[in-house]
Amino acid sequence: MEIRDSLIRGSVMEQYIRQIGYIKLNGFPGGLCSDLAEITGASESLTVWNTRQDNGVMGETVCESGPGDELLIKVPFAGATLTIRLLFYLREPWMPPDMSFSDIQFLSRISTEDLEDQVPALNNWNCSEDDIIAQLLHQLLQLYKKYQLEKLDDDEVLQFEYRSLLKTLKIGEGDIEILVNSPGHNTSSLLVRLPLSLQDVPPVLIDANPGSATSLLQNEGVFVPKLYLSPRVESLIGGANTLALPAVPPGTCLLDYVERVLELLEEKVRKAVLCFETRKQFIAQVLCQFGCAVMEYDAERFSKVVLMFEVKDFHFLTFITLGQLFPQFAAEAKYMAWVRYKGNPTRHNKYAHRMTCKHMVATSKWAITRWEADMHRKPTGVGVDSKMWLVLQQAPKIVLQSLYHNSPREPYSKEYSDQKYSPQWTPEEMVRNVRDVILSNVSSFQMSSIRTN
Amino acid sequence: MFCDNPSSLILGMAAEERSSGGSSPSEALEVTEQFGSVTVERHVPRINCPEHIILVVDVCREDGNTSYKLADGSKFSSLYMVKRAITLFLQNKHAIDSRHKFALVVLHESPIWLHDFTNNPREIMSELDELEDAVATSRCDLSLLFDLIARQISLPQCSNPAVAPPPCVFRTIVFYGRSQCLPQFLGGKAVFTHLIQSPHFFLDVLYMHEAPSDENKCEGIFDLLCGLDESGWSYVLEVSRNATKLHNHCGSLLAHPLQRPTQKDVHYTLNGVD
Repeated sequence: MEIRDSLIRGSVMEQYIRQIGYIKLNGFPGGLCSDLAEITGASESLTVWNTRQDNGVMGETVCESGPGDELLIKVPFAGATLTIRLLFYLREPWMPPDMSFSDIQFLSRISTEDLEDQVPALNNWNCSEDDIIAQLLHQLLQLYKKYQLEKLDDDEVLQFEYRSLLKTLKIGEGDIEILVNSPGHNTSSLLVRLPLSLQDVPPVLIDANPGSATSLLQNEGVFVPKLYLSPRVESLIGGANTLALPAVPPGTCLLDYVERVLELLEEKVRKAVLCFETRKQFIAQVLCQFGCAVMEYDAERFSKVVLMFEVKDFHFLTFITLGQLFPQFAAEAKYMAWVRYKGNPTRHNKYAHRMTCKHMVATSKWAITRWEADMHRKPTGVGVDSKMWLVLQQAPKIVLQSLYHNSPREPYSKEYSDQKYSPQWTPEEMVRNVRDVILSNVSSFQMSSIRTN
Repeated sequence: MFCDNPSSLILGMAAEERSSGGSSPSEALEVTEQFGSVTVERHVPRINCPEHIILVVDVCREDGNTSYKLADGSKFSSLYMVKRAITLFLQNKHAIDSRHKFALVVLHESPIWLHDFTNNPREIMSELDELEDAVATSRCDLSLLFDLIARQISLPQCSNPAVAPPPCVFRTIVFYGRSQCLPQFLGGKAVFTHLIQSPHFFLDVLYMHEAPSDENKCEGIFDLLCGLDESGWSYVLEVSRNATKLHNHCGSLLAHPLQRPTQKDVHYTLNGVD
C-alpha cells in the first residue's frame, strides 16, 4: 500500500509539475504585463493571510504545506503587484487549491455566486489537465479586473476617463487595467495599452525582437505617468527611459495626455522609418558611385558600407557608418548621449557624449552663420525658406583603415569628421562630399599609418 | 559614374525583396550585372550574411625560393609575408563584421584541417605563428583538399536560393606558393564539382610565385588556377614577390562574395573629378 501510495503521489507530483511548466512555457494568462509575472514555489509552513474560513469569516491560518505544494504568483496589475497564493492538496488532487490574495478586500467583496460563475475551474477542478492552473489564474485575474471596474462606480471622474479612453482610442476592455484606491494607497492607478501600430515599419527593423509590440502608459494618482515599451518597440525608437514624456500642466485631462503620448510615439516610429529610408538611399548612392570598390555593406539596416580605394598607388579601406538614428537632430543626439552616460557612466559613453557636445557646438555656429546670411538676403516675406535647415542631421562617420600596418594589435585606423555636411544635400551630393573628405585626408592618413608602425 | 540609376541597385537589395510585398521572385532571378561586355548572373540575394572562410595555406618551400625585399632593404621569406598578409586580412575582415568565421588548412603532403571555424581571429593568428615551411613535395593533389573541405562543412539547403538569404556562405581562399608543381585533381573532380555548383560556396585563389621564366611553370600553374573559376564569380589573383601588391590582393579578398563585383570589374581608384 505504501508503495502504491508513493507511486500515486509521484504521478500527482509529475502532473502538478507539468501544470506549472505549462504556465512557464505559454506565459502567464492575461494581464498587460504578463511577461513580468513571477511564479515561485514556497516551502516550509507559513501563515496564510486573508483566507476565507469555512464559516465565511476572513482570518489567518497556519498551513503545514510540504515543499512544492504551494505556488506564489506575483502579477503586475495596473502598475502595482497582485500576489496570489495557491495552496494545493497533493494528497487529494481532486480538490481545488486554497487561494489568498494580497488585495485583502478582494475576497471579502466577492460573493460565492461570483466565484462559481466567473471561476468555473474551482468547481470543475480537473487535476489531469495540463492547463488547469493556467485556466484558474486567468479566471481569477478576469474576476479581479471586474471587481476593480465595479469599484469605478464610486469614482465618477476615473470612470469618465476610463470610458473616454476606450471610446477615443478605440481600444477594448482588455487594453486597460485599473486599480481603484489600491490597498495601502489612497490613489488609483491605471495602465493602458496604447494602440501603436507598427504595421508600416519594415520588418527588418523589428524582427530581431520577437513578441508583441506593446507600449503601456501608467498613470498613478493625480498624474504620475510612466511609460513601458516592449523590446520590439524599444529596438525601433529607443528605450522608454530615453523618451521624455511631455510635462503635465495642471488641469490636463487624462485622455488628452494619453493622446499626446500616443502621438509622440507615432512620431518616433515615423521618424525611425524615415531614418531607415534615408539610410537606404544613401547606401544606394554609394553603390551607384563606388559599386566597383565595394567590400561589404549592411543590406538589412543600411547602417554601414565598407569600400577599398586606391589613391596614387596607396590602397586603403574606408568604413562609412550611419547612426541608427541618422538623420538626427544634433541637440537630440546630445541629449540621448547624456541620458546613456548618466545611466551607465563608462568611458565610452563619456567619450560619445563629448563628441555629441562638439557636434552641437559646430551645429550652433553653423546655424548662426546660416541665419545671418539668410537675414542679409531677405529677412521675411515670400521666397524666404522655412528654415528647415535648422534641423541639422548627423553626418556619416568616415573611418580610414590600413591594409598594411597594425598599431599594435589592430590595423591602423583613423576617423575623419565632415564639417561641411549639410542636410540640404541630395544623397548624391552627400556621397560626393564623403569622397572629398576621403581625398583631402588620404595623404595625412598614409603618413601617420607608416609612422605608427 | 558607375551607374546612372540607383533604384535599379535598390531592386537588387535583399531587404527590398523581403520588406516590400511588391517585388517578385522573378526580379531577383533577373538581376544580372551588365559590366563591360560580360553578363554574369547572380543567383543569390546580395545579403551580407556571415562568411565561413577556409584559409588554405601552402607551406611548401621549393629549391631556389626567393625572398620578398622591402624598400628599406629588409628581406622576408615568402611564408612570413603570407602570414603577415593573412593576419591583416583576418583583422580587417573581423572589423568589417565580427560574425565572419575562419578555419585554417595547411597544404603540404596532404591537407590538414588545423583549426576549425572560429570568429576569433587571434586563434587563427596563433596557429599561423606556429607554421613553418617545409620541403616541397612533388605533387599537389587538389582532390584531397576538396574532399577534406567537403567533409568539414555542410552547405546551406535553401528551397529557393535565388530569393531566400542563406544563413551563411562558405568561401575557400587558397594561398598557393609553388612555381614548379602543377596542382592536379589526382582523385577526380566529382567532389570539387559538387561544391562549386552550390550557390553558397565560393573559391578564391591567391597565387604567390617566383618571377615567371623558362625555368619554372608559373604561367601554366596560373592558367590552371584560373580554370578553377567555373562560375565567373571567383577571384584568382597572382603576385610575384611584391609585398605591397600581396597586401593589396588580400584587401581585394576582403570583399563579400555575395556583394562584390566580378574580378574583371573591380575598380578601386578614387578620383576627385567626375
